[in-house]
Amino acid sequence: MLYPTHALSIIVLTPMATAIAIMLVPRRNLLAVRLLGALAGTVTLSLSAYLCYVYIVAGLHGPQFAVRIPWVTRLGSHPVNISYSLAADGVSLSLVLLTSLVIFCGVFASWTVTHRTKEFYTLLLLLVTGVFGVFVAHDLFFFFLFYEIAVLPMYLLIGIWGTGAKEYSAMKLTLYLLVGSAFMLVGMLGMYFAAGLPAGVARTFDLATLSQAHYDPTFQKIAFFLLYIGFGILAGIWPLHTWSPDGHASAPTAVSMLHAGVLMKLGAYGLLRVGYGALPIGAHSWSWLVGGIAVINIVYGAYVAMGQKDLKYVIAYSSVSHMGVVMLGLAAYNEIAFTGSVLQMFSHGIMTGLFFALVGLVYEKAHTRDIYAMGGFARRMPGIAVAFTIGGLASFGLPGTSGFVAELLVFLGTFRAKLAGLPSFLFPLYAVGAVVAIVITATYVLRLLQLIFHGHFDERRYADLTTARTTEWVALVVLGGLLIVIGVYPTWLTDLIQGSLGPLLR
Amino acid sequence: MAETLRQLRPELLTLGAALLVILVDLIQPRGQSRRWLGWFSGLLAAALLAVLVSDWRLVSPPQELWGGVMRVDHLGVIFKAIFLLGVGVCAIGSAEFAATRFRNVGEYYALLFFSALGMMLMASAGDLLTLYLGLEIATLSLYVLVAFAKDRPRSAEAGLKYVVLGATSSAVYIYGASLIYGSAGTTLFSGLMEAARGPAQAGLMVGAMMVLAALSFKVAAVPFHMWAPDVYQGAPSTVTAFLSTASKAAGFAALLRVFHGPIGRAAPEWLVVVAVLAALSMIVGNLLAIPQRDIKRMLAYSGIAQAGYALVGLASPTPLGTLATTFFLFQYLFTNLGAFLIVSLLGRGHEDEIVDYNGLSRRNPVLAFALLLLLLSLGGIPPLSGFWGKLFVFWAAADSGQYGLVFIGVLASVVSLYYYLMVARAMYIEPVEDRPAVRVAPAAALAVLICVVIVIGLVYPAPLLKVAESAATVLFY
Repeated sequence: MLYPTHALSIIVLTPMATAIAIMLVPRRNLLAVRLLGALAGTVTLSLSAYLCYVYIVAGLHGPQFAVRIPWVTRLGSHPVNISYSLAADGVSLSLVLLTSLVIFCGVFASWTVTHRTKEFYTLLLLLVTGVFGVFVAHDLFFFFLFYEIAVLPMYLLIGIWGTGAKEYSAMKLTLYLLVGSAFMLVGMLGMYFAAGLPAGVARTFDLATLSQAHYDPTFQKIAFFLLYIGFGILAGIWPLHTWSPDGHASAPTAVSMLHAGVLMKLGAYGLLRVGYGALPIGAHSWSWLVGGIAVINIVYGAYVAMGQKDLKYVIAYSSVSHMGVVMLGLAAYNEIAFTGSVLQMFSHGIMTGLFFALVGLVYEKAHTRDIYAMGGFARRMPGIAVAFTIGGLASFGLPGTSGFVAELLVFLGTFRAKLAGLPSFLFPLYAVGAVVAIVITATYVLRLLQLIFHGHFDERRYADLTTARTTEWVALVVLGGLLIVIGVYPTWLTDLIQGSLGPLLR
Repeated sequence: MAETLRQLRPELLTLGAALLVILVDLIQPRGQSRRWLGWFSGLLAAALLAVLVSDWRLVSPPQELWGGVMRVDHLGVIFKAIFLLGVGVCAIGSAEFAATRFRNVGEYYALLFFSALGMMLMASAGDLLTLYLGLEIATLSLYVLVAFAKDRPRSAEAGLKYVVLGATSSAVYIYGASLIYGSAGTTLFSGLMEAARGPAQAGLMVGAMMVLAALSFKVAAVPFHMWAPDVYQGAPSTVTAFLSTASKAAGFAALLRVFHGPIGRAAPEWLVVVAVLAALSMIVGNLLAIPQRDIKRMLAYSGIAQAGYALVGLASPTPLGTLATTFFLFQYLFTNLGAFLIVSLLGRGHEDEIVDYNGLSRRNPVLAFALLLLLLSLGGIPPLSGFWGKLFVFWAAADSGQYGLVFIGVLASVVSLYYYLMVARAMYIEPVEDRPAVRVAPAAALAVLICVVIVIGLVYPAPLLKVAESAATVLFY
């Protein structure tokens, strides 16, 4: 099938090119800025959807659409192989699709940003370049480069357009993530230097080569732990998650959507790709810890979400809980659990993107995020209520929604996990703990729905409450619809993911 | 004779440029605008640079002048290019600043050239005394430049401080050199190379440490950094821009010549000392930058930390270490020069508080974005030039087994982002106060643009690495 040779480069660089174009647009011309943003969203979404289609229909597997440009080949007399190298397999493609969906909806959800619009879109698109880059980078070095590009714009996005204790949240988030990236960098450089390569192969940052390399078991244990901490901070692992509720709650709508929806997945994806892909022994030896922390995430996140009054904090803590499911799937280390884990990344990305879009809408119209001050909103905003309900149901995994498929696969995989050297009851125990937490999730989600959309409606206070308008529907329809589409017909996505898991499961 | 003249062409022409600037300044009557002088000096520097670059092929293999007191090689050419670029960009960037604030504009540009001449001698020294000569020419010019705004007490005070401390460090240098002479019987690098092959000598070692201390003063490494914040703050901002970049690079050129060369081999103990200096500079510089309210003081401490990173490269006495240090200094020149030039555009005469930058992103979005990029590059954020610079010096250190330094360096870089982001916060997040929009003269805009373009352009570092590679090998013969 036909596709542009540099398809992945186009996806990665379109947002950046658009960001530069937006810088050149006059400040007052808001429409041009927004349209450029929408254009970037449309281009990347259609191209990534097309690439997924090509990948599925042509029955491809393994990394495809590769581009490779040598960047630094030597440092003095030392060979250093850093290359701009992109490629995508099923896992990458599904996450690229997720990113382009969320940014597409995010652009429309930010249509109402009027404060320094131009800078907002510039930074937002810059960040997206980083995210796309991480998902398709096939060179460890560029992986790191893109990761940093994805993290830094966040500081200004939250600091300028955020609400509440925004400066505190922004600095906390940035420093946490940068400390994480320092751990990653050390781990990655270690992987570069310690790689046992076949004779005649020069040292390289190429991911495929490093995944084939031989690593000493002790090194694997240390390096995997470093990567786990580094990526784990971004994935929101307990107890290093505290930046995420603050950050998500302070961030403006589109940024929360992207951050909870996509950025946290960078952490899980990185661990999967680099940690599990290249350091299998290290991954094995730490799976008890990864799984245990994941269960704490699931239970603790859900439990804390139950106690929140601020709507955004509820959703933020639910993200902490759901990311636990992703990490549990990784810890179980088998095909079913991995499939579920990646599917959960996708499903949670869509779901939480939808949630934050909805929270943004509710806040904008009701001017409060205190859930106890709301009530009966379904009367005035039926569309929002329906979308919120769909998201809520997906959140606790009701059959027929994407959350069900993902969580079922993760739990099944966890029950069946057989890891040498660990007691056989450990992972089933984890699974039980995680399944029980679903009850807590159901409790807070249903309570949320009840408090916001049902019950007494304060006619006087919310006299001018309206439902979503024009561009605001985009996120609701696209994301809400997808939750159900995947719930009913998940096979296309599971096939896309499953076919590429082989090299990651050694 | 003709051959010698050709080899000395860059130095002689720089001297000529300095005199020419004074001459053309005299022709124009007093009281008329001298903005054009900045452009003129910038063009002169560009012409000198062109001459220098055209010599590139001629200086390989390395050549010696007058029995070895000067060396003409690729390393020297690269550092001379750094100094001339520093003079050129700084001159263009200060065209408006100098014309409006100084009384003797011609001398200002002439002194920049004189100072560059001294630095060039330092970078191509083949003898401890040539090095000293260069050091004195460079610093004497800088003493005057620091005190150039002599009607401002703070500038005069900074000048005095710099003179007193600088003279002390010169004394330490010359005493160290005399000890080395006493032990080895020569001050020529080639002769010292012979001495290095012989048995270890205490006099050589003590002398080497004193030379190291004096040059550490020059690059403002901890614990020889005390002068930097006061002098940087007191000096006119464009002078600080030059002082914190070209002068620091000159110090490192000398350090590379001496310690990656003969004396490093004669007194291997220096390696430990440099590693300690590097670690201290990175830690102290970054930590003390955090509480600063004045942006010039903050950048002074950040510059101390940056000297620490460059010292990490110096602590790897291999061609890779020389290469990494050279690359680092090249990119640092533009990053820091750009940042200080922007500071000079925004200063209100006396104070340069960080709070003055509040809302800059709305008062002048382009300038704010430029400063943001430069600060992020200083913080080592990929893919900007500062990231590659740090990566390569850490790489060199790891390659020679200095893992402790790499670890400290990476952690220190994370800490440093805090204070760079505080400036970003002021520019982008803090509300606009009632301040006028910032107007930037075309010359200054061009200078800042050059810096930003290079900081972004080095995202693809391979070409510069290739050039620096041929320079890195000349010290290891």
